[in-house]
Amino acid sequence: MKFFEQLRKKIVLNKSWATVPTADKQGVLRTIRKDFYDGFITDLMTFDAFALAEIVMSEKLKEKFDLTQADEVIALNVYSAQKKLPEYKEKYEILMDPKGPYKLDEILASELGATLMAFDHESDANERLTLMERIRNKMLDEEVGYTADLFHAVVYVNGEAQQWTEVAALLKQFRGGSTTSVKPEMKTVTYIRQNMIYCFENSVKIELQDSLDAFEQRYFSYH
Amino acid sequence: MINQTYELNKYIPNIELLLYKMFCSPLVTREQRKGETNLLAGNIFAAKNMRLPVEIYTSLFHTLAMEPKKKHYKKVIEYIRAHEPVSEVPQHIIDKMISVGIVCRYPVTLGQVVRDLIVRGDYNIHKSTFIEFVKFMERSKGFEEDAKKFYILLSESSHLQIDYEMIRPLVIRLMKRQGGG
Repeated sequence: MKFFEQLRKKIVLNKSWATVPTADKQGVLRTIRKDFYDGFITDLMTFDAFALAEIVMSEKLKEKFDLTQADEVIALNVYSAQKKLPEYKEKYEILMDPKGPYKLDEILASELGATLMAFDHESDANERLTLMERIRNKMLDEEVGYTADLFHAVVYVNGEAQQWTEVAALLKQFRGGSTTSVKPEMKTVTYIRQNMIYCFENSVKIELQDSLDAFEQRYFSYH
Repeated sequence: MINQTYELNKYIPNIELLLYKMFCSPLVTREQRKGETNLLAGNIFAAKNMRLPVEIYTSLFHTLAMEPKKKHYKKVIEYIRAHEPVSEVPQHIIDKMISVGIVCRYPVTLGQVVRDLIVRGDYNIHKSTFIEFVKFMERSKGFEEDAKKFYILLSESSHLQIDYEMIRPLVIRLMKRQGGG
């Protein structure tokens, strides 16, 4: 952090820019400074230094750079890793705002889903489920397909909240040739099989088993 | 001259070492050099104020890497600085210069050399060479803080521009060492 503080103030353009107009110089310097913050935050997150990443992020905000979707996603990851739900929701709302600058696509939906998975505390379960539901509804409205990670996240969040009926319905929806595309991975099927024992209602369990078999047949069978 | 030296190669087993000896051995006696601050005093090439081809410097640096001697390392660098125009010193020669300093572990000398290359000469140092140099300084015990100061010096250069890519190796090292702190 000390190193960051030492360098942050010393990032200046070299001598070769001396004759360039000030406006151009400022533009280049801002790009270099923004890259510095972004790179530093990304590396801090790679090393699980989320608290530091948050501090650097707040320093970056003070410089009033134009925020992009990538910036919001970085913030989303920082808050999710630290399980700070209120701050996370602030960013979530910005990204999900229908009048906002960002459009929901497969990548963004995937990021939202993956970051939601981190809120594994029991007190956050309902909130997490609601937020996931909102992503799914918006995806339906905007005809966005499911990536493998997002599909896994949806199943995981519902499974952890014991919403097995919902999981069965989701499997049924895709098994029956839904208009929304999905690219599932075997890990999702494995997760459902391993956690099915927590589904205590027999009728739901049977329905889930049937849907899962059909789903597996459709996406993972080579016959 | 190169051709002549290669001709000699037929008769002398290690022409590169011979060239090194020729370059580094002064013609004047130790008594005559007493009190002399000029490193190139008595150098036969310097006496003729000759510019040398880059292959000669490459050879000298290769030999220095094999037979490290700080004083001779300084002589070669001094010769380049005194006799070659800044714009005509290629990046790969500066790379050799710095690599030899790293291999031979001369943090003090190398620090002074790089400072002069940036501040006094404004030499065209390649980005990766500079990164390797800073990494070496940071690895050298007692020079960790000095390593970081070199980034600040870059404002004096016309060729190197500080950016995150340049700082990243040091950030990664620091984080690995301190566990993110």
